[in-house]
Amino acid sequence: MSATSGPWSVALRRLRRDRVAIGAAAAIVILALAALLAPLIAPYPPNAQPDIVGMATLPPSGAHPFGTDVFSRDVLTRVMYGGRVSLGVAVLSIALSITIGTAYGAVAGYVGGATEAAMMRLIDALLAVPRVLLLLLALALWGAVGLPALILMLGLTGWFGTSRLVRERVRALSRGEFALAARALGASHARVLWRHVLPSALTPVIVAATLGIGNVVVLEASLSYLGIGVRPPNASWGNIIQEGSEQIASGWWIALFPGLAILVTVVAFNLLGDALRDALDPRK
Amino acid sequence: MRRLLAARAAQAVVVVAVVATVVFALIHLAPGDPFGAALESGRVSPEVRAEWRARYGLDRPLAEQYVRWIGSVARGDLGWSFSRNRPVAGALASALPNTLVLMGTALLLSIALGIAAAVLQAARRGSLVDRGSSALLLVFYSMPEFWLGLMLLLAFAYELPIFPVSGVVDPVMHEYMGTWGRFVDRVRHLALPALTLTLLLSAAIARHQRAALLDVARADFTRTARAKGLSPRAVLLRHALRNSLGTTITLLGLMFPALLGGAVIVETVFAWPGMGSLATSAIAQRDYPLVSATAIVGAVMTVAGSVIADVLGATADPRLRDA
Repeated sequence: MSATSGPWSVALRRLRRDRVAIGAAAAIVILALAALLAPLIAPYPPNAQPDIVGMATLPPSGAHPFGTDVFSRDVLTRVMYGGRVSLGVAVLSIALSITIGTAYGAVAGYVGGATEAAMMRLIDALLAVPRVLLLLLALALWGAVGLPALILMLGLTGWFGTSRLVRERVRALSRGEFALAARALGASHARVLWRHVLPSALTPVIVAATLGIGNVVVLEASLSYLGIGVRPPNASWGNIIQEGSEQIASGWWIALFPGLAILVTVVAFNLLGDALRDALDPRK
Repeated sequence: MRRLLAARAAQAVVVVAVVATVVFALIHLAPGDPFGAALESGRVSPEVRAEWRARYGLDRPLAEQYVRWIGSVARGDLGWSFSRNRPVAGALASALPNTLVLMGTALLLSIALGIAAAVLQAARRGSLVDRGSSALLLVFYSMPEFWLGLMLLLAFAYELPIFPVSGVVDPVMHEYMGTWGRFVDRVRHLALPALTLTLLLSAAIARHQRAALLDVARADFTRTARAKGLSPRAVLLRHALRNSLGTTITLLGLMFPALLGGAVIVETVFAWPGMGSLATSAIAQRDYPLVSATAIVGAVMTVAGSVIADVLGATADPRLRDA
């Protein structure tokens, strides 16, 4: 990946000319900075309830651009802090599912034969299970889980598609001449797979991961909305919307703004993922 | 076609078996026993607890419990729901039709809407209409379903009170309506949840169908059709659309788990008494037999959906017949 005309540098050059990709990346950077720097730049402390009687459910104003919620907390502040949880959970769980999916797919694609067939049958079956129902069941059984367990569950239910992608690429590449040449030079199977096959097999994985982040942001928000994802008083975009849904008739702003944050995030990751796929496409 | 059906049926059995196994593993990996809150209070003595465990076979070796579990799933015996105090099968039977109505309506509307949008876009590729609607579709495609549902609720049930807020029928007046009135009442209650799912699903279908149409537009046979003098409209509708429909139907089969998951969440937003509401209330009450049964029925529905999609796809496109 160090060569200057490798697929990654070509893709980067293409992306820099793509105005949609630049815009999407900028939106992601702004959202991530707003979340990361929340303790420094948020207008109020995260769970401050200045006046639960007089300042509850105030509409958007100069002092509270996103309004206040039923506990008189500033919604903008909560959306910024919620972003830390929502984006953090998404990035970490995607990292986990990419790792598992790549390892599983690489092994299946490299060994081939009956082992591969059995491994991929299992994936077919797992892909047919509605992920939401599986997560509902797991979260129902474990009850109140912390963030690490939530990330683990999202990661463990998100790698099936990745393993399919990797297996397909590894299968094609490991039968290529360069892999055979490396074997002939005395490289072990592990080394051929790790040094020669995997780097080229990872391109579709990066695209899938980018698109997947948007998916997981929505999934975590849905679970938190159902009350079994991120739990209060920790803010996540999903549970702010859940609180807002109870006030929907009297305080629309509480549910609106975190939803817009999710929407911008997911649109940006989808646009960036599409742009990345086009940029990495050698046929163009 | 018969070979395809046999192969898919065998796969379906494997899928349901895997799901049943996963559910079994989850239940036994989870802390506590499946009675959960029901026997956790201090008032229940260890002896009573042991007796209950024995009555439900929880003191048996794990392997034996597993075989019995798989056997009961295979027989369709899903156990007893603690929270509803009725057989799980009965609770599911009253919820399932509501979910099927919601999903079926959304599916039909979004296939029509999604394909129509894609044809319009492909006919004017690169135009303002194409780019504008692509952007709009991406926005809907990226929306969390529960948030879109809430916003539609806010707009069309609270701000402009056109549609009811929740439920399948008017809880008081429905009894006193005539046949036509009852039908209208049902449609008005169905409108917002179905619209929520339709907007999201049609966006996904349109995005895929547009790409498929443009792929086919480059194929040799479409050039031949143009060369022999057919109008662009005829080529698009009669040749390109027909050739690209198969992949869209296959996509629908693959999207079925997501559609079911979406329906589960939309149901809770609109208090639609289907599988989703059943699952979420079962979770709140820690009613494990009911939760695991919804997961298994969900898997069965998914598998059935993907088999139907494969058969329809193979009917529409002979190239998909040998899989």
